[in-house]
Amino acid sequence: MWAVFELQWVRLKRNPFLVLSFLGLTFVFVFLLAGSQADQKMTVHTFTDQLSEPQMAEWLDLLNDSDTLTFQQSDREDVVDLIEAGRISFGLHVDEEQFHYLVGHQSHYQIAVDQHVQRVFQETLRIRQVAEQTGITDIQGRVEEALEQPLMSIDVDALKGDASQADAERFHVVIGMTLYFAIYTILITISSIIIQKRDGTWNRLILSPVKKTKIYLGHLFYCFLIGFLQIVVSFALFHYLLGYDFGDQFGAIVLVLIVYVFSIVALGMFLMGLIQSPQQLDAVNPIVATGMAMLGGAFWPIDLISNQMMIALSRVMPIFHGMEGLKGAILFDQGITELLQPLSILLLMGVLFMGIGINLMERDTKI
Amino acid sequence: MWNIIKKDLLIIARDRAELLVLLLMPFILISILGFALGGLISGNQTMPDINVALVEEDQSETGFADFTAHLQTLELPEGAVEELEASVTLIDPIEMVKELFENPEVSDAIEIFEMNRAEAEEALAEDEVAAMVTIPSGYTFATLEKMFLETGDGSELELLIQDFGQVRANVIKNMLESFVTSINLEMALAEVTEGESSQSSNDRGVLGDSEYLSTREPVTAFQYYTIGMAVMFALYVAGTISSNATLEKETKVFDRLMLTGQSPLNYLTGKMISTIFISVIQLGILFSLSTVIFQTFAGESFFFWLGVGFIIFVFSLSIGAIAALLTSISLRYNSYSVSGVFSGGVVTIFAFLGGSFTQVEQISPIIRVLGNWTPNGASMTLYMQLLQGVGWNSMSQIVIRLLGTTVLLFILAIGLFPKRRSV
Repeated sequence: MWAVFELQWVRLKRNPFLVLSFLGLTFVFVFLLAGSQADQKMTVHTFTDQLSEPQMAEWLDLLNDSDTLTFQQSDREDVVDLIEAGRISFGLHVDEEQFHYLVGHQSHYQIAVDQHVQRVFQETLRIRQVAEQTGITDIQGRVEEALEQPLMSIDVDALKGDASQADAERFHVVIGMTLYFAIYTILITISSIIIQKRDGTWNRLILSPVKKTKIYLGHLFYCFLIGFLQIVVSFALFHYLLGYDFGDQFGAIVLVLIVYVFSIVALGMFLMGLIQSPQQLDAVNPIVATGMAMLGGAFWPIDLISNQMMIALSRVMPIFHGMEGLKGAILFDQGITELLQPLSILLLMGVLFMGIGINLMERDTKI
Repeated sequence: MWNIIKKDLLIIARDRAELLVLLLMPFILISILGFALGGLISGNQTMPDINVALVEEDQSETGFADFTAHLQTLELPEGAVEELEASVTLIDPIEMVKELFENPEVSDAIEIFEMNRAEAEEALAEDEVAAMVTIPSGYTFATLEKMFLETGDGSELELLIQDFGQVRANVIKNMLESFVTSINLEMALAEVTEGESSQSSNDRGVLGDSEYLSTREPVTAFQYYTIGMAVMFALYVAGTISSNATLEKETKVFDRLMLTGQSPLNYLTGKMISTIFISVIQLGILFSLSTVIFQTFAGESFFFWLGVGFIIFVFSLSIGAIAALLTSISLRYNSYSVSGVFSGGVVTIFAFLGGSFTQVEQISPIIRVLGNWTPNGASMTLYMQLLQGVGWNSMSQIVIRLLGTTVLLFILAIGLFPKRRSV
């Protein structure tokens, strides 16, 4: 096994282009991803047609009382330009006692923004209405004072730790995209088996006294390491360089990664069994990786999905369980015992794929 | 020239499985998308019903009884007790919470299950409900005490969710929060105005409706992701076709071609044209099938489809140029790795920059600007503009940029083409 494993490294030394460029791309990818997340607050471009400067400033002041949203003054033309250029999907239009959204395309962020804006408007308009009725001028300040001892409050608690919503969203994107990216690396690395088969080196290996299981193990262990290292390097960059806090559950994170990468390697073997040429693999890889990431919820929050069949399908995607496990360990500080479910599902998937995959490949070589 | 193009198309046509994957798989992904974002297709952004467990550990009757008993212990002036007792019966704090969930707008999206604490905790852990709202014992009393006597710390509702990352849980959280805020506000107003603030007449009508850029409907989330996936998958065509070049080199087809005196320009043009051909067909299938089956772009005018056709063509040109460039690099380094790295890494990064994966709000402005320089990002912007009915003037700029990139990439491809003696 170790000889075959070593062979892979010799190959890598001779032709390091693939692995090196993936390493380089991983760096690019990590920094782009972090760059895209740098602004933790979402900016809402706000404009008005009728209000005067101070009136508008007052609204912006009220609206900007938020942890997750920033309302930035703009004018109608700029907002239209931004929407047309596809840079934002909607803008907020504030008027005397009314607001509207200027919508270019629908986005689920509008729902979150609307909840906040509705609240601010209803509150402010109500206070103004009462001020008019009663003629009390400094009502705003006095109401705020009275609100310091509210009648009712809510005590919000979560079963799994106290990671904030913003953190959860950030990590969802980072984890999802990293796991997605790793699928490509693993599938492409594993495709070297197909090329070896075609070149005939595979047959020579089989003829040698090395046991077949050992040949497979040597190859797969190498693919495993490449995929594993890619994710570890990405996470390390995020953690040490970009200030993402991955928590203290290093053991659990590493274990989830191990079983996740194993299941993807196994999936790769399964695909190898079905595919004949590197060209086909080129066409199939993106479908498998992207389809799986879509179904598994790497691109959008899975709980937005209502279709029962889709929910069932998402549960068969390794990436779903990989993300569950990693989110549990990173965000919710769960240890290995609490993550047994995703861990064992991933392991089971890996074993299944591997079994079927190797069987398919062996059937191929006999013919 | 024609022979070379014919050769390229024949090579592609020979591998049926690959061709099928190339042409139809994007559509399968779009179908996944269609089912996954099913609720979003129809245009009204509905979410699945959210199940909420309501745990009542307090009873109105005991709350009232406690409160009246408490009133007796206070040394209040004559008649004040009776007056308070009378006004208290008008308000039922528990009922107020229940009314919140029975409100038709809310009950459309939320389903309430009354349970006891143990059941609710189990249901939450089992993911049968997304949140658990508890009315703790003493809630009625605390509310009444604060409301009428302005003593005590006020009441507290308890909300338990699974984790803060869940969209569903945050919907419930926001809803409860705005309920509590509005009650607190009314209470504060009554306090400040000494009861002068009558219940709001609320005749302001609907706040926050949507207006659109033109007479057109806004772009739906499904349309957005369909276009995002379409432009992403077209990029893979370049990867697949250029990997054929490596195959040709291995089977010495390439050497023989060069011996017959074919110019690099011809060879690359052949690759480019066959790529354009495949990518036009692929995008055409994708757009038309998704309209026929999912009504993605149903009811659009002839002019719209003309625009779609034009963008497909311009975009395919740039993909052709990418294929030519990849071919040159592959021939130079004689390895499948080039197309592999492109398909696996570069496309993913391009697609991310271009906005295929995430909606624009999640992406910082700088990234968006970068994204508009990628062929897929630029085309995506063009499609969005077309869907929004933006005039030709603002589109032409991006079209010119796209064409410029195409020319540049092709020149680069010719420059990198391996020189004769290195062949």
